[in-house]
Amino acid sequence: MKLSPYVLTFSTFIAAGALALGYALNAQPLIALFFVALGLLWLVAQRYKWLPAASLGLLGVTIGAVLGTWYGVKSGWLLVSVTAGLAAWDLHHFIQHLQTSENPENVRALERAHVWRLGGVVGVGLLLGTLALTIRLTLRFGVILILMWLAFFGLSRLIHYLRQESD
Amino acid sequence: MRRLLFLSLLLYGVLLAGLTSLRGTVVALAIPLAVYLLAAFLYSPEKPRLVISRTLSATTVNQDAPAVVTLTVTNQGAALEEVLIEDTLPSGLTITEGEPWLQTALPADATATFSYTVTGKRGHYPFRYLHVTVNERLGLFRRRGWLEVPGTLMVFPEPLKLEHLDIRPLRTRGYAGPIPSRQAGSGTDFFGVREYQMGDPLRWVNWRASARHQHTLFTNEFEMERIADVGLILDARQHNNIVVDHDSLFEHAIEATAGLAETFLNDGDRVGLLVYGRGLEITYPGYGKVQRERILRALANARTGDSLVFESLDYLPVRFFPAKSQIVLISPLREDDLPVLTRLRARGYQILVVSPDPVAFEAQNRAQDTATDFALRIIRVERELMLRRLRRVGIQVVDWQVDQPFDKVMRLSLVRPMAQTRIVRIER
Repeated sequence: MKLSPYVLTFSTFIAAGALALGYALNAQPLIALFFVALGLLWLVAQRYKWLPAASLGLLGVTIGAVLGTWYGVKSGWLLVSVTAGLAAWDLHHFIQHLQTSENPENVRALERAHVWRLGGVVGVGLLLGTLALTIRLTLRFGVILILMWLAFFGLSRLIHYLRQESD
Repeated sequence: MRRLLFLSLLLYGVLLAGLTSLRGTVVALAIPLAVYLLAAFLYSPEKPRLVISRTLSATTVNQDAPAVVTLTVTNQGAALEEVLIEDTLPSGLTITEGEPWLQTALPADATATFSYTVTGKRGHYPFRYLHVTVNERLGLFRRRGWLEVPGTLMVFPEPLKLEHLDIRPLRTRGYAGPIPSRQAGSGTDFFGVREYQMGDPLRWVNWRASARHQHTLFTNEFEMERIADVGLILDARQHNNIVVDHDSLFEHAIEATAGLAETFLNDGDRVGLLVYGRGLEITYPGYGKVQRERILRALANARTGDSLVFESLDYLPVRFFPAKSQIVLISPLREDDLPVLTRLRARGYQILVVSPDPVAFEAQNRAQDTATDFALRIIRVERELMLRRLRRVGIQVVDWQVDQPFDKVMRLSLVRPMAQTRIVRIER
């Protein structure tokens, strides 16, 4: 396993760095420093194979990105940060999942396939996110209500699905 | 599952934050998360159709000898992006090479093989289930299941090396063997002299005896050598077993029993085994390699038991052993075993007791102080007296300290086969 650790470090660096840079460019150096620290902590946790750090890292980056919209941070930085955080979260789990294998051929093949799939997903997500940021729609209150209902309906369906899976 | 839940909650959290705050930018931030979730959902695996077979390099191996377990997996369903197949290892086996699992991508109709090497102590190890986990590449959607792929590995005890043993049961069987049968016939040892009969070889004529009689010739007779029935009794009563630092006296007794069985079977004798303790585990008498395997199997499965019924040797099924045959009891012995052994001896059985010394075994790791020394001395004297009483009734006793070579101890203890034809009468 050679590729994944590099991509993981790179993604973490981008996730924290983009957010920190966004806040720094918005003249909020303290918050920027906080996210630099968050990135460093995440990197340390990766080194010590502490798995919960992946979810905490992604959560931190996402909350930072959502708050960034209130602080007026450029949305490009936020989108890049969330996307890179997602990739880092995924790879952190993937490396933990594969690290005990002794069969190098299988590991290499699985790693390659995973990175390709992740690259595609992240690429599409970034592209669609960029498109969404450039397109501006005005929604009526009713449409927003419908969207919220859809969100709740989707959440309940998901919980139902998860219950079925656990059975 | 936790990852899926976490990502879903995060996605919905961001979406709700965006919708409630009416900020399109926040909704846009949720898009990469949604794409990730959607991609995982689209590629979520179908129910796998796997055919798995298990082969073992040997179904029976000796203690600590390696056995290779090979599993062949064939995917008869749709392609699987990532499958993890984990074998459930029976407790007691140790992996020395390889890993008991395979993580790979498995296209439709593809076959993958993985193998690992295990070693283990004496015992019976049933393999049963494989745990199969199938997931898409992002690892969010999984299917788990168990597949039953049975297999059994039997680890035989290591028989202690032993040379030929001189035993002299009162009754032997009809086939030629190494045991003097107390009957005249073809053999090598001088047995007696009888009157010459037509057909006797001239070199068998006893010229000295013949010289004393004018008209009669005498012929030497030799003792026939035959095989015998040997019944091995392994004492598996829990209260007779001593464990010191994971070393069990019972294990030594098992190895000794295996060695004795092998030696008797190599001599051509008919050997049976009774494991007495947890119940009555009987291996009926037989000959040769097949019987050797049967006995080793029985010994591999032997466990100590604390059944109240079999607490004493009173329930020893005597009819299991042919009359006047050789009985070999492998037991640390207890005081209340003496009457039973005496009764057996009185019935005409030739009895050999191989007794792993529990006192010496337990004394190995005892702290040396005056009280312990004194206690040990008392117990040693008690044991010596018990063994003497056994010898006095015509029972051969081998007092074996398990740290000494079994072969040497047996050779020294049985240096002269006892001509014990004396039958003990029970005093009532």
